[in-house]
Amino acid sequence: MSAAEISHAIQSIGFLTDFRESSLMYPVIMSTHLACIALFGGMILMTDLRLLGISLTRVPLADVIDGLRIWKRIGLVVMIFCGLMLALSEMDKYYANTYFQIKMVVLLLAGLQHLAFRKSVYNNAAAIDKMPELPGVAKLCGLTSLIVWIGILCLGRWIAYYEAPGKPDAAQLVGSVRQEMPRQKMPRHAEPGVAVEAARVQVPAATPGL
Amino acid sequence: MLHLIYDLNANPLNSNEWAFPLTECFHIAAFAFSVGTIAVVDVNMLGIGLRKTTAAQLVKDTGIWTLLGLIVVITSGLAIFSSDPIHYYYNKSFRFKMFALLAGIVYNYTIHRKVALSGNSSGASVAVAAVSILIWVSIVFAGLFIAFI
Repeated sequence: MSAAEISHAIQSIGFLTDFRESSLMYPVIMSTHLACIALFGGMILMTDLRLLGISLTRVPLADVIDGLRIWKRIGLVVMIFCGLMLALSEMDKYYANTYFQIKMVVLLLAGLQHLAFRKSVYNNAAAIDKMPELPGVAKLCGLTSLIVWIGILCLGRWIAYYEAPGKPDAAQLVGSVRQEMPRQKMPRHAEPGVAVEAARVQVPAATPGL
Repeated sequence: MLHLIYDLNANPLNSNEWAFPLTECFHIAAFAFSVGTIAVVDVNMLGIGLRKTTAAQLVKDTGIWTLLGLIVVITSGLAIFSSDPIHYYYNKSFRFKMFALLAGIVYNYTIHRKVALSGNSSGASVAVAAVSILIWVSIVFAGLFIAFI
């Protein structure tokens, strides 16, 4: 079985097909994914800046890390659930998307970053607060976290702009007509009827499996 | 129907392959800053945030980041708007978003700020924080729904 076949089998699972085709659930889950960036991603950024000694400097590090821990955990769970729904339901498009692949690698790096600094920083905040100044390891922790999370954010956005090399397959084009077509090619300024016509023209003549 | 004498293709956001997604990244990172810092205050007002720091202290310390985030988010938002003004102007989700954004900013610098600074930990404070989260989440939802309605 090829990666393409496996991906197609995954996104063809009943509830994932329903989800993909739902005009309401799909954007709702996508918005929730984005709202999590706002609420909990923002908390990660603030923690990182505190570790770098840039923001919240009058607030103890232990208070920042312990106080926001539960929220970041809730955020991560909701975020991953939404992300899985979005990716698995369109696995045909995602599996070969370079930005998606890089995002998954950087997501793994974020996990490794957390593990690497868990003992020395995240579970050691009270001891760091007693030090006369922020140790280098805390700053390194904040900086690496900032880089990986901003990277994940940007890669996530770039997934929508991926253009497969060579001839695009029909399924991809049909999907792109809905919302993911590169912007400058989007026939948005035309009349609705013309837009539909323009979209239809781009689908190759032979579209087996559609 | 509104018309503009304006060549959309002259806008770098519509002609440069990298410009639009990059602007969107700034937009998203900036709202993570502004909404995230407000959310830090909100969870504290809900009583499930930082234990040793008051909401009043947090409002003062996160204020500059909220403001910086808002400036970048609005600037990048205006740039995104310029890529296709007519499309956005007639989009219902965009219209809702603009009203909610205005409400959110006014709310944040009036009621929200006042209650957070008062150090009041009653039910009123919980309600004010909950409304704040609702407004900002609704703005994020409206932003995404622009592409879906």
